[in-house]
Amino acid sequence: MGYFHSTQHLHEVLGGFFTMLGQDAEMGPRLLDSKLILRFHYKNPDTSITVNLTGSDLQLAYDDTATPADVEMWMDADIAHRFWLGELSLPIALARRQIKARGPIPKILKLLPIIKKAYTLYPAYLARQK
Amino acid sequence: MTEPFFAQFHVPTRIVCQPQIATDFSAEWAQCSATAPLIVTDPGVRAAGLVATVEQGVRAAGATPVAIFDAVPPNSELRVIDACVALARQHAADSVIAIGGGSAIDTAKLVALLLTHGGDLQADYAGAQTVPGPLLPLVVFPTTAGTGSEVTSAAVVYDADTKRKLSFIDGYLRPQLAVLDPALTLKLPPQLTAATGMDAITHAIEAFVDLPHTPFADACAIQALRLAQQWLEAAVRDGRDLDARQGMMMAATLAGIAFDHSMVGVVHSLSHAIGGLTGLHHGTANSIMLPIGMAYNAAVCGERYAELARAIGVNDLGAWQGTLRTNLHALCGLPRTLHEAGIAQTLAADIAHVAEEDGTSFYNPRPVEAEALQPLLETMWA
Repeated sequence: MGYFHSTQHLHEVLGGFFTMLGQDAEMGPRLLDSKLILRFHYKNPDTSITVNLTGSDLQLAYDDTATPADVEMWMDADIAHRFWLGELSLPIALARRQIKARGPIPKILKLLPIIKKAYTLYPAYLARQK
Repeated sequence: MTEPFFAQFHVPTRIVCQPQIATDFSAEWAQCSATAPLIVTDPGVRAAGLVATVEQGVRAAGATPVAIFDAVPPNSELRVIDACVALARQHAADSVIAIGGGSAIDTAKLVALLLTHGGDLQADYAGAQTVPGPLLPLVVFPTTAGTGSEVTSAAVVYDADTKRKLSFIDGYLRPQLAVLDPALTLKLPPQLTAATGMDAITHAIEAFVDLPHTPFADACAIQALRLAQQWLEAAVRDGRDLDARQGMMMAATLAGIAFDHSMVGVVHSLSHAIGGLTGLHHGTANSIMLPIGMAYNAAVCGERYAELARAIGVNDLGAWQGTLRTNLHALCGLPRTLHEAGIAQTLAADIAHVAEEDGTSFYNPRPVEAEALQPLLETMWA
């Protein structure tokens, strides 16, 4: 059994976390500057979250296959959990095929310095969820 | 986040190197299980007679080239890939052979991808690790010594509609066989020999200091630099020097293996920016930007530069590359500065800002910031 015991659990945890990042005074505006639509496809449980950064605030959609995304990433849900815990880096996960990414790679990599602070926020966020 | 240590080394490409091996590589071709290759090349390579040389080798191996696509431009484009794939399908090609520099090899990688798996290049495969499985046999014959594309998992192609470059990174894009025949580089003009050689040197130096460097890639980078140190000036001075050509082919391939694992950094960020803004040749841009990149990184990886200097037996890596660039300028006119390359100083700010956005900047040991780069760039017109 992975960290996320259901699709609803994943939506609550990661969806809530993405919303929090969008509202963060430091990270939120910089993420919105990217003007990207990101879609994360997860396995175990199987679902997706679309993060729309094109407007004035961060918008989420679950299992949205209609909105064209600039960047799509596929990963096991536990890999996503470990990523946000700061236990694995995106370049290494890509090199090991733990994550695959479709879209402009430079734009994907450019987001990483912006979300550095998120690695410290995620454990505290999880603790508050319990 | 503290990056956990991770090291990986994987070179699935079989590499053979010998003068004249392009005329007989039957032993290696036998493992490809293919009889009907499409040849992908550019007009200059074909005019130089290099395609005929490789064709001889293909026929000696019992295969018959079904068609030759010789319209690859210096920076390949999506429409070129499409035309090449159409030709391959028309003739039922079962394998792809690239003869040329980085553009021809990258084109062949993407043609092999579409022939094998179908689909739309941009919509289905742009990105990282998107290729679903192995490709049809892909055999490459580099005709320059610099790009390293013969062993890397990357391909880049220009999208004329959006005016941006698309990147494809996947282990399955590494060729099955790389045939390094130094005789194929004997006609390369001195300045192109120098520029592509400096490209290889830049790959080695950046791979050695980049964030993801590992002892595996370090070993390749060091040996690449030793070979380039020994042979580059000789190859520029006398293009018919087969030993020098062979040394540089090995250097370029080793540097390719190094940066395929450790990536490249700020020098490439800058040269990609300059290439996009002005069209300056990639190797020439790397050569010009190498001292800028090293100066930019010196504060954070001075010890790594010193380690690399010790490994190749020089006191100071910066001084060594400076002398080399001066000597190459004297030998063949390779530009040392953006001023000498005819680039307008008014572009300095644009170059710095575009470089900051380049994907390679992520792997650089020092965060790439336009404000910090621009003063260094300005020295290129001093």
